[in-house]
Amino acid sequence: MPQWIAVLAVTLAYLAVSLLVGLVSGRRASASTEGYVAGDRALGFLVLYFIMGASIFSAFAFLGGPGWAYSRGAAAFYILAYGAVGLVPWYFFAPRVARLGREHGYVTQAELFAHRFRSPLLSGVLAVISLAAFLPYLTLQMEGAGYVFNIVTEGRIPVWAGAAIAYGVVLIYVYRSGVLGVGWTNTFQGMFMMALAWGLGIYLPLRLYGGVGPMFDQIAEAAPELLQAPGLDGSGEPWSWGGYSSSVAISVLGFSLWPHYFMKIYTARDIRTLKKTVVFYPTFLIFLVPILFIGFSGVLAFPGVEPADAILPTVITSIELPALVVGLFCAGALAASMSTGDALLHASASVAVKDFYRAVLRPELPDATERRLIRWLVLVIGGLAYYFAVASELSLVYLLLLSYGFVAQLAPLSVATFFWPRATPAGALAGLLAGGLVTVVWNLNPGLQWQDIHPGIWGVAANLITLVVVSLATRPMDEAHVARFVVS
Amino acid sequence: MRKTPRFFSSRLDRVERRVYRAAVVFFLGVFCAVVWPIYPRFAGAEPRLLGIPLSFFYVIVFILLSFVALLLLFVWEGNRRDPDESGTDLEG
Repeated sequence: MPQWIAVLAVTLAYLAVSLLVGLVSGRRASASTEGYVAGDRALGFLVLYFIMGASIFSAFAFLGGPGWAYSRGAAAFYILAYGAVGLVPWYFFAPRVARLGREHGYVTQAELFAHRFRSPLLSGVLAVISLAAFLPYLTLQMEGAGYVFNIVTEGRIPVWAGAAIAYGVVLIYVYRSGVLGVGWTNTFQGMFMMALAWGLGIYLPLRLYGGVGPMFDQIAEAAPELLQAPGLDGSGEPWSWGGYSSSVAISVLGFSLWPHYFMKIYTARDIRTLKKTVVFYPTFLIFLVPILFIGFSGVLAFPGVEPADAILPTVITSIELPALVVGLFCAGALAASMSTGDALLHASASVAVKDFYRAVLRPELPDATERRLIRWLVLVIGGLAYYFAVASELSLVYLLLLSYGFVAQLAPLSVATFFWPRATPAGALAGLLAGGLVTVVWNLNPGLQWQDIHPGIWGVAANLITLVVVSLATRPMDEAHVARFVVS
Repeated sequence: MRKTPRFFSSRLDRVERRVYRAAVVFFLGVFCAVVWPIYPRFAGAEPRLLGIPLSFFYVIVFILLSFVALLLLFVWEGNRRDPDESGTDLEG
């Protein structure tokens, strides 16, 4: 039997198990929107831990992480750096979010903000921002899945077919099981990825260099610039400290506010579960360390791989490995893509229906119709992302670059929601718009760059100032209403 | 109504407030440690610790420190109150 058939068999077996887990898990949820979107607020520590872990283990981490370590060296450490404190804000504000969610029945992020500011318009704006940030990410995950199939079958399965197979499975279990399907498949996929990351991360340096230590010794000798933080930029020149530090900062600001993670706060069974997830989150990050080892292992052994993101599959297929191992790797990379893609898909549909359609256009939408609409939209958005992933010439890379800058704009809004009673709807909206606008303008005009600072940082500054000034210039909100949200 | 922002709930006692303040300062410290101007002092490849370059090892150390600090805070809270009560955080 040719190697690629064995590899494909292992991969398909993995997909079958994922599908099974995804379908079985959904049977425990109630047939309501709350059940479909927030898992009836009954998720335990294990599932929440892996849902949040999957946030780090995306196709970006599995393919892009080693790619960065391989081509940009120490620049890749920025992923670890922001992760060190990325979820910590949750420890302090998530309990409040969870409690308000229970009291008022929220299942999305915008529901909370729109209620605090009594502004359906705010909900609509947030929905648009969320979808603009989600779509390129989802597209990227799909492309990643397609490439994995393509590489391990030595080109026999084209990218479009690979993406269709993997995301066909995702669509089925997200459509059927909602957030429980996402949660339980992520748990299965997460354990799988952890085992694989450590296995390969230790094995490859050992096989190619005789160990992790000797590997870094040789890199320090031959390419010392890769180990000198902050590493290199995209064009191979040394990266600036301004660029590195502001990238870490913008990621820290935005990380805990990404709408698809934020809404998982509502799924937690209780406050202790939520906090425990934050506590153990850094342990998940440690699993990125061997992933970066894999990228470094390619530096001297396989120079000149283009694009750099292909380094992991290249190493795997270049050295003689048993079909089972290659198949498991393939499944692991798919797991990384799917465990992120499923959450994005589920959140996109929920946000589009709840925060846009219901909040802005049809407030009296019945629950059953709403749940049905969300499920349909899972299919529609999945199809749209698939179109962008395989058929469209239009590149979403630009949107992707903007997405972190956009999501960070939620930071001033969140602070105002919980800590500043004087903030008004006009201030919140004006802040968001000013921040988004500045981020876009700074992105479009490299001439405005200073010290390589991330455009999102300027956006946040503009956002904060506008929010304060406009709030102070407009009438304060009803005290009793605001008191329910603000720390007092 | 208070017009000025309050970061910690007035329901927290003095010890709690002190512990949370220390925690927030600590995590801000971790953030500062992994960016300019502190990280550049530890950004070289030498020495190698457990075979890993200093620039890499340094970041890993802060992930572990962050984990330990969160764990201590969590255990401390658990010992202090009924687990179902969430009054020890920023809950108002």
